[in-house]
Amino acid sequence: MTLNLAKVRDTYFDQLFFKNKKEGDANDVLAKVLLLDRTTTSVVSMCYTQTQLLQQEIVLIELLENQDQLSYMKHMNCIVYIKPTVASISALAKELRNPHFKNYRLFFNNMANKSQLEQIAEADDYELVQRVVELFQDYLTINDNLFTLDIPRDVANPFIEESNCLISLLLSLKKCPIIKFDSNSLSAKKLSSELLYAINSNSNNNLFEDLNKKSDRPPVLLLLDRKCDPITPLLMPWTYQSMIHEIIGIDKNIVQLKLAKEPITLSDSHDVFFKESIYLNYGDLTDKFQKYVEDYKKQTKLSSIENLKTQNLVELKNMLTKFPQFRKLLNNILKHLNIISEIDNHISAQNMWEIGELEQIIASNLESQASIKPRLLSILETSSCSTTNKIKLVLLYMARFHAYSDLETFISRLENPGFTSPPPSASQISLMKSFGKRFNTGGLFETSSHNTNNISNLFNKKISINQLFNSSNNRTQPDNVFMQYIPVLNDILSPIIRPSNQAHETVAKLSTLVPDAVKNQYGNVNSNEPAQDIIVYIKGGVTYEEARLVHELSASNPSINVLLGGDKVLNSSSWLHDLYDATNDEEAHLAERADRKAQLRELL
Amino acid sequence: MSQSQDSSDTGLTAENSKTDKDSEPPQSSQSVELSNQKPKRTSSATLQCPICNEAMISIHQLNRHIDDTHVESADTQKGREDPSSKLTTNEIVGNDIKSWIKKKLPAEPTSLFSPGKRKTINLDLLDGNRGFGLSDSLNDASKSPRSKEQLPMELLPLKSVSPRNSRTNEITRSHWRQPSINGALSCSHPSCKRTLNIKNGIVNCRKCGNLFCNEHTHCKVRLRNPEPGEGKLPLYDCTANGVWCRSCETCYLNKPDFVAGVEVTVNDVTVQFQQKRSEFIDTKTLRRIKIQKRFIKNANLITERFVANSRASFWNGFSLSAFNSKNDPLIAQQKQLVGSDNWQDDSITHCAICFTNFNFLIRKHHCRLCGRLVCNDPDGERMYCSILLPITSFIEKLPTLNYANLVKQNLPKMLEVPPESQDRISLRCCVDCKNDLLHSWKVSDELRQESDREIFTIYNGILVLKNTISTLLPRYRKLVEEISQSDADADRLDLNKARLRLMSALKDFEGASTRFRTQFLKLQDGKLCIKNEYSNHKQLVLNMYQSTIMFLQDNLETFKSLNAKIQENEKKTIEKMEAGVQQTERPRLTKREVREKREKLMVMKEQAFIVENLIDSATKQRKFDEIDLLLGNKNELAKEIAVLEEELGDEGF
Repeated sequence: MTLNLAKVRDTYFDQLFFKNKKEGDANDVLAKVLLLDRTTTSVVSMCYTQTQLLQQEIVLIELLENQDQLSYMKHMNCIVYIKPTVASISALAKELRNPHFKNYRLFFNNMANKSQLEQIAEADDYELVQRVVELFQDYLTINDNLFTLDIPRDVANPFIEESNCLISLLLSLKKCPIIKFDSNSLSAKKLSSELLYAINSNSNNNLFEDLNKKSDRPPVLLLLDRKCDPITPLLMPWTYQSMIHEIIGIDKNIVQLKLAKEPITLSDSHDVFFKESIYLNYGDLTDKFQKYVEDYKKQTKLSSIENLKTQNLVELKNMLTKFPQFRKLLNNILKHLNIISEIDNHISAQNMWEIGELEQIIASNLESQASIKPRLLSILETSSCSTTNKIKLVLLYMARFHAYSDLETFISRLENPGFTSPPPSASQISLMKSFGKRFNTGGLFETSSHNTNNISNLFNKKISINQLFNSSNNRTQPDNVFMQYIPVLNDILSPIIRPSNQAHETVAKLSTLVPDAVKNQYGNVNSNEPAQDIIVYIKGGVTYEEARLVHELSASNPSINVLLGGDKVLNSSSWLHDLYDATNDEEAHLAERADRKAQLRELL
Repeated sequence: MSQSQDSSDTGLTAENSKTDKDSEPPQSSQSVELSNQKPKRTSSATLQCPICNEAMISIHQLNRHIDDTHVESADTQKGREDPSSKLTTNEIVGNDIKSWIKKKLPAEPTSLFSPGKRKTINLDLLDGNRGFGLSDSLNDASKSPRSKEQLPMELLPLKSVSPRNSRTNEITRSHWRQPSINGALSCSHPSCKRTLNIKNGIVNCRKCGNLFCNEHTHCKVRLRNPEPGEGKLPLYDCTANGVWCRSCETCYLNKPDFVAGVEVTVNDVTVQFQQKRSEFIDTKTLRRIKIQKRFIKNANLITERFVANSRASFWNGFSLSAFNSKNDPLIAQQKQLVGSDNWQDDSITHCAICFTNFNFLIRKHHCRLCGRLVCNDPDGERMYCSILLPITSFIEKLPTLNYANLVKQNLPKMLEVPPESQDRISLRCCVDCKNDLLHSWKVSDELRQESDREIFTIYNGILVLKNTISTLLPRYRKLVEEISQSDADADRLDLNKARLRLMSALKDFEGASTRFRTQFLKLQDGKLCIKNEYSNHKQLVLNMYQSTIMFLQDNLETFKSLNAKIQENEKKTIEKMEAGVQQTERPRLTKREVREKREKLMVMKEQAFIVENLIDSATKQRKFDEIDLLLGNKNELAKEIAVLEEELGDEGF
């Protein structure tokens, strides 16, 4: 594995909190305070637990911008971890001019430029700064192989911000990649040129030079646009993490259940059960959970209070020392029980089994239009299904068949208050009307069906076969049906991983940019060489389902490392919202244009 | 799917077997490719085997077919048949194919583990494969049957440009393992049992030289020849100069990037930072020294005047009337002190710090230390631009400066000056100069109020203990492990010492943590809350306590588990010793042992008696589930009693 965000996380943890100890001063035994800014707060909270921090004597965590409210605590060392933005740097300078703590170690989560360093150097009148280190962690780590960027909404130039975040990702993994981008997407193109500029110009700083020293082929950074696959986020996913996100919603690894007061934190690094079941399908998940509970019961039964009488003192002692562990285990079980039961409620309340099956059938092209239509109509007439689920089905149908004649029937069913409540809003209807046209999905379906027939594309099949066979328990019968759809990402990745000579119509047309540092090392890069390390960034959002796909790709082949990221993690509702916004914008645009035309006419 | 995989393997084999012997590798492999591809192209819809005309669905199937049914005959037939078939196909398809191949070849298809046939052929093209591991000298001489194949190869014109135009780049083969001619070889891949033959392929990994079957040499690595002194094996080369070579999976996964795993950049810019800081610090210290000197002189001047005035005031209380006038000699002196170059001209209209326009209300003032024109802003309405402060407050904070004796003598007198007339001994200075002047005082300032001092003194004590524990514990663990590995008693003393030390440290730690709790926390509604007097450090104290408790729990647990390990260990050794003793002779128990055992036996019997009573009562109360357990206990007791009695033998009661 050459791409693993967990490793990055751990290394940086050592850097931030642990490495200090090596210096072995008496000072280092002091308690520490951690000053963060807005960006790094979420970075740190996604990566590290409070327990971890407490173990390293971080007894206080504060926002740097709240420095005025801090009291002077000259007995504490201070660790500052900020993103080098103008605001944070000047806040840091202010803090250094008027220090609250004994001494400071500064960490930036991205490149700090020279003037920023100078600004801090000038402010450090008391020479309290002991270390200044650039770490590169300007992104949020969700899983080992999944990241998102945390770009505030009010940034002046989001592309530069985005490219900075990606640069930090590349640097953190020591990769200087060739950039491939979806040439149909304007934003991917902009981002790629921004990145290329950043990489090339940065070679002055020597940060991007010699990064690939040990690799005999350049890594690939693949920039895609969500628009090339609008289908995947619409489908109901059936694996654990995806389902949690789809049904309950995960925000920065935090899940807020409706009934529970306390939010739940999910983390694959500290929760063994979650780590093991993160990609399991629903059937396997329930089995696994049952086993987990039974294990717990067995363990606790062995040493439950009633049985204690018959046991001797030593065992009693052992038992008592294990008590906190059991407590932890029990909490974990309860946590997952709550989540799973919420998911289960949702599935049964919304008829998800039926809907999911139909979604899969439409999306993976299993049955003809004639056989799908009546099923769709019957679901549209079921009043227990929510409006959004129905709309999703209609969208899929339209994307698949472009049958505009049927649309009127669907909309009339949707607007019938007897079947659907609440009836769809205007933007929802306009989305349904325009969805098929907006995304040229016809080609998408064709290629994916073409690929399954194409024997040379071993890849595609391998996974679906695995899925068909690996699940073997009572509930998986439906699951097989539910997990037939393979995200388009697979079709995009496979020609990169194994380029074939046959004229292969890829789903997305990719263009390639090669940074100078790569050119220097490898000469002219042949685009037909198979890639080994691939970092995929999907602008517009990724899905956990794609993360699972990427995980399976890497797991099935030890020589391929794929990392996936996006500017956010989508579920169907957030994707639909994005789509509504887009259609509304477009309509507003059109209306504006019409207005202008009318005005012009009047003028004339 | 599996079919296609197989076919590709065997396809490869065929290729290998053919390329095996020729002396002009590039052409040969290409020719083979030609021969293999021709049929594919002739009829793209329905493929036919060129030898037996069997219809095929796909190229892969055809490859497999050729390998399966024609491979044996190939060796013998090729010499005669191939050229003719090639020629005929050539005629049939004509230039189409040539152009197609030309188009295809420059774009070398490559793959990682992919079992595509053509891909591997091209791979061989790339690194100039001449066969499977036979050294060049062996090539022509020893293996006659396949040398026939050279003929058809040479017949073919050298059409396409060989991608390997620089032969000098060829990777050394001196390390290649030779396939023995008689003995059956098997693939060196650990999980592959296949024998190496023509069908499975006999391929040398270009890196390690071992022999593998086709399936396990699909990887590609970039290699270069070793420089003198670097050994004989080719080395990995990750630049454009490296030659793409076939390798086994092991060598692929041993590539430097895989060995290094995930590498993480950490860019330490401390040195850079410190350089910059020292530049700033240098200029700043210079300035500070300058300001300090000026301050001393100013202090001297002001004190002189103070002394003069206080004398004068005996005669004339209003001699101060001239104080504020422009002609005040003091201002002239001060100007001289700063230097007339630095003393800003009155024509300036903006404050040097806050850039406010001077007007009737916002008056101009000269900073007496740097000479800039600033506004008066003691309350921070703008930027604290300047302030009028009595020199005594400075002198108090900076007592060690080199003041004139006059100043030192008059300091107590000046301190007595009432606030309303302090103007006389005051100094106007801007905020920058003030900060510079008081810098050294701030550095040494320990006077800031610290409400948290108490917390930290206790907590630091805890931290020291924590540190000792976290150094002691690993040492103890190491000792335990050493002992469990070797049965030596020598270290036992050390071990016990370490255990005692650790135990006392843990006890101290526990005590300290309870002290911390009683000091700062209180129980409220069953929850730990912070005491009111420390409530402004609530989060801090709570976190500290939590971290302490966590540390205690973790370490107690490990400590106990380590102890348990030792006990187990000791038990084992004792058992062993006993077993040893029993083997040699019937144990002659010492008196002490006898006594101990007797006591044990008595306890056991007593317990058995109790258990029996319990059983009785349980049967009476019809608690049958308990009876089962009790019976089990009874049996165990009975066993142990039996053992003890046996051990005691005649010495029993």
